Amino acid sequence: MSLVALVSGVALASQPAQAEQTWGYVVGSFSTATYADDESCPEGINPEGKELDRRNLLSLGYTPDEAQKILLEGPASVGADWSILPMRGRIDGKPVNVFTYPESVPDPHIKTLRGSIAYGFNLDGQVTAEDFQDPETGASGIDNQLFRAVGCLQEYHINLPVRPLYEAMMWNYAIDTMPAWLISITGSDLRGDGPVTVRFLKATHHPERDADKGILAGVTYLIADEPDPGINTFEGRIENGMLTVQPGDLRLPGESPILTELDLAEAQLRFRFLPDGGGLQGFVGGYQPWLDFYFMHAALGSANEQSGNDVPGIYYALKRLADADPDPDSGANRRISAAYQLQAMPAFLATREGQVVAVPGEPPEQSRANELTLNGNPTKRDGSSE
Amino acid sequence: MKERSPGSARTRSAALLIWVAVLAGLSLTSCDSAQGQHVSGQDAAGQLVSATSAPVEERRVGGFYRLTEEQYRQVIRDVLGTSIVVGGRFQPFERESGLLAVGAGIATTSASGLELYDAMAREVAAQATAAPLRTLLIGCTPEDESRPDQACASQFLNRVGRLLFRQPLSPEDSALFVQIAADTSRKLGGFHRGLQESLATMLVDPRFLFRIEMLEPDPDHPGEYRLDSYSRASRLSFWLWNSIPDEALLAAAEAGELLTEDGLARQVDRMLASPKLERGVRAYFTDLLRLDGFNTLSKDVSLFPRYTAGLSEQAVEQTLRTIVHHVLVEQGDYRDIFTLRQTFLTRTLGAVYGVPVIASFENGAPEPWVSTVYPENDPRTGILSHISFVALHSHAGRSSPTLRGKALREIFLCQNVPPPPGDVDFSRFETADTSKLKTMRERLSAHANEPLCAGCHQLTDPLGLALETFDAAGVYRTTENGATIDTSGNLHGVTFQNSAELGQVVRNDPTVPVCAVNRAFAYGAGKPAQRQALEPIEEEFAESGFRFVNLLRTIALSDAFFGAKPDATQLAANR
Repeated sequence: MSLVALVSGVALASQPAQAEQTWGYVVGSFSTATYADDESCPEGINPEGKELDRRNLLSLGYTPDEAQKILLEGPASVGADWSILPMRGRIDGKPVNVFTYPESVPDPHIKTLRGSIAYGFNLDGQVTAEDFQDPETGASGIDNQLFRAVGCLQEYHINLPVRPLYEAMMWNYAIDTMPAWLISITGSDLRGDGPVTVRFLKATHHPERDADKGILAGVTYLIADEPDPGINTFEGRIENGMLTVQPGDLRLPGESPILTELDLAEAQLRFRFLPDGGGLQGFVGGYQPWLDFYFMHAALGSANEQSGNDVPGIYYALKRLADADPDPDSGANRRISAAYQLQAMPAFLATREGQVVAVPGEPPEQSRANELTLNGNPTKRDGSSE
Repeated sequence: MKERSPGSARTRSAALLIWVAVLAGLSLTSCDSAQGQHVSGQDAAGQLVSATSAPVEERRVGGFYRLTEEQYRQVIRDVLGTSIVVGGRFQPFERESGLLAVGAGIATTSASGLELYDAMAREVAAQATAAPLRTLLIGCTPEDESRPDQACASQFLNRVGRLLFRQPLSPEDSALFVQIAADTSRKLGGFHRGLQESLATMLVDPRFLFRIEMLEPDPDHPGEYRLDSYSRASRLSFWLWNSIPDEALLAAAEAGELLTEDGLARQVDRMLASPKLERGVRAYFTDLLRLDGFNTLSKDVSLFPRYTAGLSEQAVEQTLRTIVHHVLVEQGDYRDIFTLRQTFLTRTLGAVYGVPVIASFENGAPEPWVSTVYPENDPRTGILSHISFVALHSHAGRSSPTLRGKALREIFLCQNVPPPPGDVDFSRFETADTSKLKTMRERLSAHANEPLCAGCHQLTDPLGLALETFDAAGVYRTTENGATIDTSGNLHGVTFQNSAELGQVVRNDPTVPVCAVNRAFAYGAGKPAQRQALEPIEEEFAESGFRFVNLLRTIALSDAFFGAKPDATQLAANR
């Protein structure tokens, strides 16, 4: 069923009761949900970029003096070039790119999170010693092995609203070209409590920036394609201003260097509506192919390691801590529990055929007639069709 | 060090006489009428060719108007091609009688302004005479590129000079510019270098930079003067096309057709039917609506994040597209610009106005414009709700009913609202506690109670308060600090409840078409006219159903438009 039909159908079916309304949003910020306190990393934080380079140079056989010289004066000072670091992997004794072949170097065993608090969701319905407690809701049984893997890296040992630098930079780089991620929320009373349907969609265009380099609210986005049946649609509720949903599968095409696909199995989410038309803010989590997260970090390789992100170390930690979707042959888990913070700005959503199917969330009170004529297509301000 | 050409010194001195007059703000004469001597030799740059039989000593300068920046650029595009890049800055103009076009008639230029023109002229001339463009532009091939070629230079310079000066070059002018080219070719090497110097000289000539209007005795009205033929052609073309006359218009001027009713009507009708009319209409409304104000407009991005970098440009384009579509394409009633339901939006503009804009285009491509029709009585109807009005007439950090009301009265009702006295204490208003005085209406009530302020604010604020549903960036809203915005008021005793009704009231106000005639005439003529001279035009405008193109035609064919009665002071100054 197309979104148009869905919205129309819902609107018609609920006519005797209160009319359905659909609010639209465009995702403006997305990054690993981070949390740090004094107990998060009792073994300490993983080294910063310079120390990482020194360790890697030593592993290549350079003496401490040579390593220091390279770090201060560049590799030419010892007759080498900067490829020595990315090409530090060895397969059959031959140099290979360590970001392409992360297992070409030994597991550096980066320090991983030991604390008991992390954002996320109880994805498996169980409460075990491996699980976290969510700092916002206080819920136990939080599954977030991805953050356990990276939570003691320099860039990830931070608290919201600060975002991991590499992810923030890559997101900012990507969204000026990457078709936007859209969210629609449909319900009979979005300002009150009650059942809702949440949908994730892909736009035909990238998000538009505002004057402050944020995301411009109120822009109209065309929906690129309807997702496959059974994914990206979540039934949920709003209770006391918090929107939560029943688990489902979420798959949104992305773009390198951000995730080439946001693929969360058994996904859950919780959103809060920000006041004054500020949009949505919350978390989305699920089981993600851990290689997707690794590829994001491998995309910029050496540059990323400058920030202290030990890329092969991340690979090994993710692989080691993956907790879902075992490979039928090897038994190795292919997915890892994860949670991301997400912010979205209000937006109009429309079909390619020109039908407005969602209006910006928390629109101001309208003192005018309800009908707009756009390109000859009558639409309703509440996002429903004729 | 820049090379100096031998011609430049002579030509600069040739133009100097005129420039001295321009810089001094004096009127020009085509000759030394008192002595009956032509401005001769090197002074030929000051000579003006007449298509009439009026003796030169009886001719007078009616006015001179500095070309606007857009006119300068458009003339360069029209004469030398669209690939020419015009860099540099232009000296600003002062707005007089509500129009820069009128201010251009009293604007001279400073010595530094002349330097800017000189630099631009050299850049433009260098581009025009460089390969490969010169092959297209010059139209002839010199026998030897390393030497002067009088025939080819003469052909090019006479053709280009006729367009740039909007009249044929006199034999003396022609000889001078050809000589400059020849001298420079010999000294600095090369035919094209010579043409470059000669072209640069033309581009700093006052006859290019200024529209110099010449008067001649009107044989039909003894004792009165009329604009001469070429001046009429230029006035018409810069008014209706925002650029130079085309070949047909110059030919008509040369034949004296613009001095006859039929001949003038033929050319006016031809010009009004031309696609170039859109340029002229855009330039007129850009001036009338003071859209040049966007060049210096800024908004506090922390308060108004929707006011993106490109929004000003889009806001201007929205309004111009809307007006052009209404008055030219639809040939609608001019007064309906205040109530129009149809406009054109981009997605970015839609985000500001709070309306969806459905546009299918390639990701990353420029935003397309989409026709949008608002519902009846939507507060966004009419140009008063456009960002080009509500944001332009606001402060960087807050809206201003006063500025908006003032602009409405000045632009559309032709009323002058005086500036505030110098000793006004704004602190009472600026520091108002918005938790108590939530809406602008409440905060502005301070003015209403101050006798010093009340006089003017009673004129401006009620109109501006009707537009308070648009914040300083033009973002639509219905509340301010949690309080509902009251947009009611009245104009000339007619009440309105919101911005849409304000548009309706303005549309129906009898002052509006009268003001429209006043401004359109002043823009075209370069100076306002007496009311009684405009009354027949106002009547015809009304009879036409307030069709703007009809108004332009009526003005162009009116007795007042090309007539002139120089007063004794002006005649004395001329002599």
